[in-house]
Amino acid sequence: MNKYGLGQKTKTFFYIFGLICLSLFPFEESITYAQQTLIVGMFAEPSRLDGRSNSAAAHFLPTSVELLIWPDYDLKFRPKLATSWEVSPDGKKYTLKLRKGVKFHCGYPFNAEAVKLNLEGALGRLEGWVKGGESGMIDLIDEVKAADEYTVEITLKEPSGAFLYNANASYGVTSIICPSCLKKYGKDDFGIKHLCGTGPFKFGGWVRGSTVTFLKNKDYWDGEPKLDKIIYKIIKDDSARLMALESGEIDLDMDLPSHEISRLRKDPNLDVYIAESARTLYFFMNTKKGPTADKKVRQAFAHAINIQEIVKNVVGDIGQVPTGCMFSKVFGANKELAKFIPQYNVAKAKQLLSEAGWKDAGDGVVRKDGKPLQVTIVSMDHRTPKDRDVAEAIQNYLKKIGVDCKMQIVEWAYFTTGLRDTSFDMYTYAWRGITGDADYILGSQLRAGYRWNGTGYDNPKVQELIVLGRRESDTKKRLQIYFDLQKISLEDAVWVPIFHENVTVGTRKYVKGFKVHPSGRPYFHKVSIEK
Amino acid sequence: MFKYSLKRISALLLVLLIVSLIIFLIMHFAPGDPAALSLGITATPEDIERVKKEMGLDDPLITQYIKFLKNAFRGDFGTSYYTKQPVLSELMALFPATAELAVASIIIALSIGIVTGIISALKQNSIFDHLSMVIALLGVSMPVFWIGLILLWIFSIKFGWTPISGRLSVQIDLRSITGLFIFDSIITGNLTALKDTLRHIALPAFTLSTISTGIIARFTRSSMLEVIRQDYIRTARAKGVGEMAVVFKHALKNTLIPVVTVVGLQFGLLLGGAVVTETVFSWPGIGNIIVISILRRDYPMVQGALLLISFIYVAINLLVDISYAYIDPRIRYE
Repeated sequence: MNKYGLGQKTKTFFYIFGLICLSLFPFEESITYAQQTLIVGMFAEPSRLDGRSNSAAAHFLPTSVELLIWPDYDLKFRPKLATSWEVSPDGKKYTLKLRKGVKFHCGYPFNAEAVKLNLEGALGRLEGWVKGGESGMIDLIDEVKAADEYTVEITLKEPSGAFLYNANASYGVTSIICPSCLKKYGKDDFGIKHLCGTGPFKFGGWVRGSTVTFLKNKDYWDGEPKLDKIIYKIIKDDSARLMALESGEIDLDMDLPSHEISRLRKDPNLDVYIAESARTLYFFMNTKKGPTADKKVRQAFAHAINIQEIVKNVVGDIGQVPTGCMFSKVFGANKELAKFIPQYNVAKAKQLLSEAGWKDAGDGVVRKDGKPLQVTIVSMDHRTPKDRDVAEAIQNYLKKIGVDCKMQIVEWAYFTTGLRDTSFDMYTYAWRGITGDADYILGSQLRAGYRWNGTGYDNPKVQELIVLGRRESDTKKRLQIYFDLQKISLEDAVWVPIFHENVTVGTRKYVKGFKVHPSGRPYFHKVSIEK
Repeated sequence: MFKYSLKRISALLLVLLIVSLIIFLIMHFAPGDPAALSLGITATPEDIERVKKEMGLDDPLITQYIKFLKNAFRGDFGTSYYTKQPVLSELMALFPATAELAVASIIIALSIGIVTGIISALKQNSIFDHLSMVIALLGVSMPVFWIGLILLWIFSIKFGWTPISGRLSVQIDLRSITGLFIFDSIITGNLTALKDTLRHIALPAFTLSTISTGIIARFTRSSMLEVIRQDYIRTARAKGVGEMAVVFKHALKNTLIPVVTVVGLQFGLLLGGAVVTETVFSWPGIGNIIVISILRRDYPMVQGALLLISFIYVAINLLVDISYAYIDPRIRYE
């Protein structure tokens, strides 16, 4: 025993323990894996991989399941599981010819019967199938018939020029899954423990909170993919995900933080992809309650906002100055509408307020009947990029014209309740035109009484145009309808488009063949790793 | 001791009942419609009503609560509104990750905290004492996410010693038996997986332990200072007993009583799902799922998860109380 009272046995124990610790903690580890394995860093985990999924699933499903018709990188329709389609003269019947020789991953044949089951199942008309959360997109379907083994006839309740767009927008609702596997696993376990489609990669497993794996489908109808495996790694924190990309722990980051893009572009090990997406951030104003119920007040607020300055200083690389109400490739978008977006003009803003009865009392705050003009702008905390930052910027602009503007940050559930109750004075939020058609955005934001119309907007002419635009089959007429609709909504100042969002994806240099899709969804069929 | 334990177990059940009621009421009165939230933007009012019925939300509140309690007693916490999977199986899939992280953190906190506290007490007012107490204070004060990101930058990016995220490298196969990867890799004899798991857990465990380490160090120091001034310690030293024996054989047991209390409380907090640490390190534990479930108003998941954590928290503190009797024979319970 030494002076510290430590026995020989105790000393020996600590020596051995220390050696074990050192040997178990190598400072370098060489773990190799198959060359063609792509590791994708994802910012969110899906709740399920079926029609009841949350929006995150849209980034996973295209890897394994397919649509009948695919909106390509320009949001134009391309044959996928359907090779051609015709619309009847009355606009109510769609005849689709299906691709022959396609099989689901389990070997079950893809045919008209499978499509019929999928569509009717997504509408909640079949036992054992899941009614999709976005089934409203195809609820115009009256009947689906398998005319022959590779021909499907879809009859609508009424004509709809938006139908094809809506029917090929949501992977969760209208992607074609294997009816046989759904029956085998049951609707609750299919989409969690199993997924079976016709896509280039098969479902390889899901470790909750951690990874979702897909394996090469060697028999894919459009050619064997180059990648052997895709592993989606769930890394929610933006900084951690970026570090993982820079260190090579992941090969692709689906959502780069905007303030890092300039730096990342200079990194010789990375490629940065920036492309305009179908999502636009808007500033909305209540048309029924509070001071913004007055159109002149709304117009004043719209003129008080310097959109160019916001895009330059707040949004940066992740957005562009709006060219209209919607991203230019969405059907119904028109760059001519840019001139109807209220231009930054502080003098005009003050004049409009004055015309509405709000005058500066000399203390920098405008008042009417002795009461100051008080409003609250509501936003969430980066549920969509820059929503909060833009709201803060707008708050400052409004203060400059004498408005006492407060800000309230809320979470998603409270936000949806506020929209439904039209209880917010003003709010910022981004909507993605996932269908590639104007009906989706305009119909959800401007339709009277709709739960996502948080402004209470109900201009009768606009309501009429929404219905007409949906029903009209003639392309030229639809475009004119949507032009008029958007022009009126901008003149009414119910919403102000602030920026068209960019999709920003980062990859390691050795990832080849990747392209950014405006929907933000990844497509890996042509991607390979070249180290 | 038996009677005491029985009394405490009854109290535990009462606490769980009150906790379940509070969680139930808060979730149900918070704004937001779970049915509407679970459906897409094109869902009709009829869809929302249908889903509400499926969720059982059209029943009166008291009926819903009683149903929940009845099922909970049978170990059935219901089905998640989102994943449609049993809540218990979802939690059991994620809980081992949180438990492993919490245990690793508390081991680090105890190892560093107790040793630091002892040395600080024995070398009171030395440079080591002042420095260690300042560092302990920093550990308690600095935001955990900031510490985590800094450590990631240093050890993962600059030195490349540790991975950025997750529990195990995606290329490694490990047969998961208990869900505790360190334990599973030992019992399956998978040394590669063991090394990899240790590399993955090192930073998040250290990050999570910073607050606990600081608290334990400070408590140990003040407790040890009190104990080493006792007459029996002076007697032991006067008899020529070695310093290590004085500290570890005579002083430590009495020093540990307040420390054990703190450890019990800290461990419960760690098990509560260190959300921030789990987010920074992409650690697939229950902390994250609780936050997401609250935001989504996934009532069964929130209720099940919080009840589980409450149970473990109360149970750990019960064990802590019982352990007092073993640490200090003077403490006896009726």
